Amino acid sequence: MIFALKRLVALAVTLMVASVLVFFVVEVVPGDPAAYMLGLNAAPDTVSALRSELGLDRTGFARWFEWISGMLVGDFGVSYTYRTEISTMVLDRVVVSLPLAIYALLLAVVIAFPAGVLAASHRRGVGDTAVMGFTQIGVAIPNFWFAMLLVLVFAIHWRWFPSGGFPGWSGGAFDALKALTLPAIALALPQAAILARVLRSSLLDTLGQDYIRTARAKGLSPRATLWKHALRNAMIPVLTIVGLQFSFLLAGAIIIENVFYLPGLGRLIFQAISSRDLVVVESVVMLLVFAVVVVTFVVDLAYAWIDPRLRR
Amino acid sequence: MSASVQGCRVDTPLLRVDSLSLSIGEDAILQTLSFQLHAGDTLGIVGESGSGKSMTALAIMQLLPVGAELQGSIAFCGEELVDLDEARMQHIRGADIGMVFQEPMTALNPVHTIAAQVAESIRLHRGLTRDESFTEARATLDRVGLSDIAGDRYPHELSGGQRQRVVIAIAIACRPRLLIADEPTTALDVTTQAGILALLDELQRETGMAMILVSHDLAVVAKTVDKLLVMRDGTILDSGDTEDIFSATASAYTRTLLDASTWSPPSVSRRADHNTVLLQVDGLVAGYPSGRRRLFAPRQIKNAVDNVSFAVHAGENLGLVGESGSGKSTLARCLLGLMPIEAGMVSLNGRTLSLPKRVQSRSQQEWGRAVRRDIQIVFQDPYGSFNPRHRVERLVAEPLHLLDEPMTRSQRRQRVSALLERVGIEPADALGRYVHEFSGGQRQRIALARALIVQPSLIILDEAVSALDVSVRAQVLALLAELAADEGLAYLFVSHDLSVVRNVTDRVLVMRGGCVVESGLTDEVLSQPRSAYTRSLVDAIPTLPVLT
Repeated sequence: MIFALKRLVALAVTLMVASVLVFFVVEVVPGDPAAYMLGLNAAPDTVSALRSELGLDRTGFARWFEWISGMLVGDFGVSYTYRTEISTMVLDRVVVSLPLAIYALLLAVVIAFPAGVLAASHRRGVGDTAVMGFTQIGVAIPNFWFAMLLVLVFAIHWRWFPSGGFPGWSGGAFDALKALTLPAIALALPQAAILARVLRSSLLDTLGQDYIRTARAKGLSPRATLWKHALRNAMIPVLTIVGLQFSFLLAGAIIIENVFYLPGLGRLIFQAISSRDLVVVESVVMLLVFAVVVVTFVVDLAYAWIDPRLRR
Repeated sequence: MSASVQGCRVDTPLLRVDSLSLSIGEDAILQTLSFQLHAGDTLGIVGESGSGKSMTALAIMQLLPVGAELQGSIAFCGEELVDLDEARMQHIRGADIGMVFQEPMTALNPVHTIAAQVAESIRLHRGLTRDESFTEARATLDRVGLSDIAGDRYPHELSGGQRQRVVIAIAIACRPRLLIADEPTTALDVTTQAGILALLDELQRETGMAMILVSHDLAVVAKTVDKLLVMRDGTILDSGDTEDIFSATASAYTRTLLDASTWSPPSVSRRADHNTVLLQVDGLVAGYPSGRRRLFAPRQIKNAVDNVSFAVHAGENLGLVGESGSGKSTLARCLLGLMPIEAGMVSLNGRTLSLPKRVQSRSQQEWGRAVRRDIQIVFQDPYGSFNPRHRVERLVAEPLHLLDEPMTRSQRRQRVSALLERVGIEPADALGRYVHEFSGGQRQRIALARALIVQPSLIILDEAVSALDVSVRAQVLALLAELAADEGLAYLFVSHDLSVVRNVTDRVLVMRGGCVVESGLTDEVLSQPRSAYTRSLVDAIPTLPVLT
């Protein structure tokens, strides 16, 4: 409990520091955001009008405070390019990106676990060689290429899944999930390959430990030893990777989003950066930082649940 | 219990090993071993590393590494174990044959409570419910002397001796007929060792189980077992009643082992110059931060070394003994400048080397450099204390940067060669090799060469011979004595092994809880200890019967 509280305080501090960094790097460092937004040929009058409209004539700290206190109550400000509430824009994207990330991660875990356990429990056997071979390919294949292959086979040839676009959740969860399936598979494959390899090596490491021999000497079968004694001890590095993968999937799916025409967070950031919509960039980056920090917090709690030595 | 081996007939030996051979790949590990054990017997298996004693134990458990090939027969209560069906073997392991391992720090699963680990074995073999098995586990933990330890504790919250008691509890939980203990006390302090050996003895008398005690330490088994096997290179050299083995009938090798374990240097080497103080330590205090960290309060320091004063004279051999956690290693680290000191003073050859960190103005680096020219160290672990990716030449030459004048390549090579030769390693052969190509004893010799290369006046030997086999240990100790005589070196001999300290040191300091509880001439302190603590340490030393 004390451990969780400590992590929670660390979480709050991290978010605070991150918000300062994000804000000042985006707004303060690269010169005048208003001039930056309007481009090289803007008239000085237009720039100064925009400056006061954006509140840029106030101090950095005041603007940061306004921005962060707005975010705390869900007011992210207004996009310069689209003139709409950023919170609605972001929310529209989150309902695509978050389920996609979770879907892909679940798939990755479901593929990686049996594969990793199989490989580790039959070291140098046929299963191990097969898993290591496939994961090598999985890591090496670019996911956009694999995505196009999926579209060719499952969308164009067999017509099982749509080839792109997102119908929204209002039309029913089935259609929405169907639209997310191919992108999720494309995203999951390389992650599953990495995860399976990490799990395998972590399990092999654990299976060489003295307490595994103790368990066998008790009369446990190799299988029971693996499930009851090795797996939990092997989870720490696996969890670390899962945490990193989730953060990556949430924002790093931009290529896959483009292949499948999905209105996700990755594309939003990309568009915002190219149209110099800095307010949107800041808010989305901050939101992603929040997601990463929360995931890290959950992973930390999971560490402590797994390993009593970490409960300090 | 239904599936486990039922009582065997009175005339059948409990365990009968017949012409057992084991090979892994090309290597023959065991060669035609034969011995037997009756119910209630205690058998000791003794040998140096690589003799095959642990492999014999693992062969009986059928827990050999992948690729091991067994030939011959191991019959347990008349049932053949070699090539026995794995499912059947799982009923015998833990239920009829229990095993205790060497390393209590790693033998327990860190993520399960100790009661759960004991209960698992009970539930597996005796078909009890979860609650019943935990009640039974509690009773077993009480039985091994852990009645004041809650069952929901995790292994990392226990000391080494307590953990070994948990491992023993797991092994005896199902009341096996045979308990195999593979070096059960090697990793423990003498007093803890004495406790564990007494416990095993007691359990055996109480339950009538047979026991195989595997050890490299003749003295440990001599006290405990009725019958003894002495092994070397996978064969049995001597076997028979313990008393007979220790008498004149033993083979030349066994006698060498016995001699080596009581090795002491020729008396000429004890030539300490008591007029010249080499190292003077006054009121040394050092420690580690402890307790909860608070934001604005200074961190609490737990004193691992508390107000320690002593002197080392030129050419002297000073012993520093105590159990783990007594502060010996912290003290050694302070002397080397590897740890800041809180208070007190250390001076070497009349020069003050270190002041408390608050007063200290010179940078720690500069200080360490001055110290390490004169004080070098040899660590316990001959495997972990070298960078595995450097060649011997580079490893030995490493401290040379402490010298004021840089050396040329050829000068350096010359010096390294001379030193390797001095410690008994053939330089032409060794310079270009990596340490993993050398045995434990050779590595400690290389470590010694590395320490000697800057011509220090004091070498700290931090458990430097503890990991070595007795015969190798005797050779290294002889080398140390020879070097001391030739170079006028002084040693600070940090060890938990009092029998070695007794044989090689002139004076001894006994530490407990960071304080020196007793000091004086080694012979006097160990023969007439004044403090109760020293007496308990001395009483716990396993002794060999006198050779006739």
